[in-house]
Amino acid sequence: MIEVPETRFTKTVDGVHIAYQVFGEGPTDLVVTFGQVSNVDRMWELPEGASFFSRLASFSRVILFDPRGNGSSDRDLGTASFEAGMDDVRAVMDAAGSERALQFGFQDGGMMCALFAASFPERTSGLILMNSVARGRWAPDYPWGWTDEEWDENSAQIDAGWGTQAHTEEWLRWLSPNHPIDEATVARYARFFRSAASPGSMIALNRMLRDSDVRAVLPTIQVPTLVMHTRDNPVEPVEQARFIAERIQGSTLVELPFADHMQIWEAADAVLENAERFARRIHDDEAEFDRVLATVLFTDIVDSTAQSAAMGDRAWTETRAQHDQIVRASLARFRGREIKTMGDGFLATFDGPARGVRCAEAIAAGVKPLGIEIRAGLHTGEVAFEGDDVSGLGVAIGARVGAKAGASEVLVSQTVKDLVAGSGLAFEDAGEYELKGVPDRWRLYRVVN
Amino acid sequence: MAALETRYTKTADGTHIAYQIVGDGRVDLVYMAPWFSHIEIQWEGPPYAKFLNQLASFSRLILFDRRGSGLSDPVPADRPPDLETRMDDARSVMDAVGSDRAVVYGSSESGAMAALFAATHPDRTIALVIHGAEVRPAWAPDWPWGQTLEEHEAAVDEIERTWGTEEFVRNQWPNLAADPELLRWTARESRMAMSPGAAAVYERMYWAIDVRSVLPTIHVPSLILHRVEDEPEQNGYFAEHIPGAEFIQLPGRDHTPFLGDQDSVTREIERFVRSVRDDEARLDRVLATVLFTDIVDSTAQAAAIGDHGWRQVRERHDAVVRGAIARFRGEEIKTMGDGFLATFDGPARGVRCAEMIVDAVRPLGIEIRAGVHTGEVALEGDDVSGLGVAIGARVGALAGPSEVLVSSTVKDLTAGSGLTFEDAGDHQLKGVPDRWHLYRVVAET
Repeated sequence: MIEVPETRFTKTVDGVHIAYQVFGEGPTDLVVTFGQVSNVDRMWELPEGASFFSRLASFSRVILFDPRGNGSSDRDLGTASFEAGMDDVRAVMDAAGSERALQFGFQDGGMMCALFAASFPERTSGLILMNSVARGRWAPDYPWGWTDEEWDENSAQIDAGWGTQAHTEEWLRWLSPNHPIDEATVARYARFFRSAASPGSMIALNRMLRDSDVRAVLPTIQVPTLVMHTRDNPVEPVEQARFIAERIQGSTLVELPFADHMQIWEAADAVLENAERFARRIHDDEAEFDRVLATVLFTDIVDSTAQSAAMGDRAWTETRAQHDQIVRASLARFRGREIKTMGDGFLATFDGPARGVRCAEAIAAGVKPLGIEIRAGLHTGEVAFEGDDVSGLGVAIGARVGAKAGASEVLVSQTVKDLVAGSGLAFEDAGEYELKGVPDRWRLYRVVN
Repeated sequence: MAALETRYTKTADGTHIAYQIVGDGRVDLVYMAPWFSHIEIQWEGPPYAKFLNQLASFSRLILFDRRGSGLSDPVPADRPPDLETRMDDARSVMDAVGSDRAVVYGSSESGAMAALFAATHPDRTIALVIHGAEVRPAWAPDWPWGQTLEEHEAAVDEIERTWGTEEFVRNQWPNLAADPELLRWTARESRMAMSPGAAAVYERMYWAIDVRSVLPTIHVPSLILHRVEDEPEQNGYFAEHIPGAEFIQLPGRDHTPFLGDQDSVTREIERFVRSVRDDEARLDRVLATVLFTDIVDSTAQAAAIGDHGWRQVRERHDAVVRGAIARFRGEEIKTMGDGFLATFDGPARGVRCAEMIVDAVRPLGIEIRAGVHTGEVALEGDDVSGLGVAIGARVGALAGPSEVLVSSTVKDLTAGSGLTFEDAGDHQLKGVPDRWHLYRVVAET
């Protein structure tokens, strides 16, 4: 079980304070949105809550928050809305430094997540819905919604007994008919419910849920989506999940063999397993998305060992410093990005291949007066930026191309030559090579001034 | 000419710097005024105004008063701003006017500082222009062209004694004696720019400058010019030690660029700035993947569905396209008719985005065609241009309903990404040289 994280507050664009916690090491960011009943502090006091969060934290960096009107966030805000709820999600993502996250919505929280995924695809890596619905109120074309009478009855019960031992027990038995419930459990949940919302706010939230309908946005969701629902759900029939999954393009529907509307009780293991598998798939996809097209430049000082021996340590240190200065100034001028130095050479990336080639030429010419020569190689390919480093086959190819270059020679791959056509750079054929560790034979070209 | 608006910006250490912008040329030119300046009074001297207007005719000219001079915040008289501080002033002004990179121009006393700026900030310097400047004002055994300490002290005393008077101007610019009006204006500008005490301290600081070691580390295009009889050794040293610098010696002995034949000075600067500007335009090209989409048979479709229905379909189509672009981290450049142009920094994502749009619009009863190409493009504000964009458009136009066509460049660059392609034949692309081999994206099963 992981330690209970610190609860912090952030402020939304409209000035509402939102309580949130961040825990787990990732790799994927995952925003958890509970619906009507949420309290980031009290949920850790439920044994099944703490265990559920710990499991989530084992495969993601969890961002847990209380939607406005709930738990430790600002309460009693009059009429809440899903629109405002989306501001809450953006505020906690910003506070947690999360650019894109998997949105995990439970029950009615799922409606807001669906809206978020449709509205902010650039901030949503994927969507998971658990026991969610698409609309609050019954309609001829949505027969699983509650009738006005059912909503009124539910609100009347809240009005009469919210947070009491009796109402809580009744409520838990309704949510999970087969699960054994002892008095201590009821007491814990009663305390949790009270800490999540007052009776008045629950009734106000009920009104909002009753009037909600996200059916129209479902076909506009274009992020990978996992829809989970307990098959014999006693409160929200599974047909609603089928309805949702049918309308979200390419979504996966998983019906879990339980008769329970509580996600962290009997269904917890199944929910976590499916969520983890989905999160890993999203992470792989995202890693592929992180690949960008870049031009890599490798430079190296020719015969540096012999040179340094001939010059002596002191003079060589001086020459090396001047060499480094010339390389860095050229990178600045041609807008390259220094990734790292390796031995006597540099690895840099460029967002335009022609600038990379011209930078290599400038360095080759610039260091000659120092009495040294460099070799340089360039390749353009998809690479992965990881923090300040860069990796991928494209980088390996660049390194091999550089290694083939002679003194004061700039070699480029065919890809670079093709991409800079029309830039005024001239090349001559430098032959076909086997590049160590890289498939195929590669035709290389020499830059001609 | 209407009076220019003077604005202020604040440096990191909280000092206000006054600046002006003149002209709207495509290249920024930062004029580092030498010695003393007052950006408003300087427009009142006809030859200076003519000179600045000429510079502004081929650039966006950025003028400022360094701290301790003219309209900028004063500095304690005993602590004149060193070169580094003055570089920060220049950078603050560049930041304030949104200038990422500029040609920096220093003359006389500010030449050394322009050189230091180019060496220190190659990422902010398109090119360097120096006119009639000094590498090191002080004499040394290995620097016989400088002032000795005695000469220097005498000069400082003289400056302090005469500062702001017509005598001062006559001493510094002997040939201005023939033009009383210009002489009075110069004296006034010096008074408005600095007080005598500040001028003396500033002079002592300047005497200690030596940028010889910096010159070999400058790696931007550089132009050194001066009048041939004005300090040839000092100016020649700049030219000889800045790698690749161009050296122009103009006839005469005038030290100040706008005095004497100023047209030959501005002509050389203009020629140089235009050539680096063209070079810069080439450097502005980046590698991008362009995606063109278009609705197939939209006219017939619109006629069949009716205006109202078609508008709804179009809106949903646009929402689908924008959602897919956001998901695959593309950038929407513009809509064209019923289609979109977007760019991506990874070609595989561009292709996957096109595939997603093809699938997602089908339920709306429409189909799109899409083309993807990767090439160097020029970014101009929010738009993109260049042959790479034209090729992308042509590739897209050749695609059939629900088909994504890509150039061989895209196919090659996405090798290993899991995308599969089939040969779509050799094509002539209208207005584009050569024949192009295109490939059709095969949907994953």
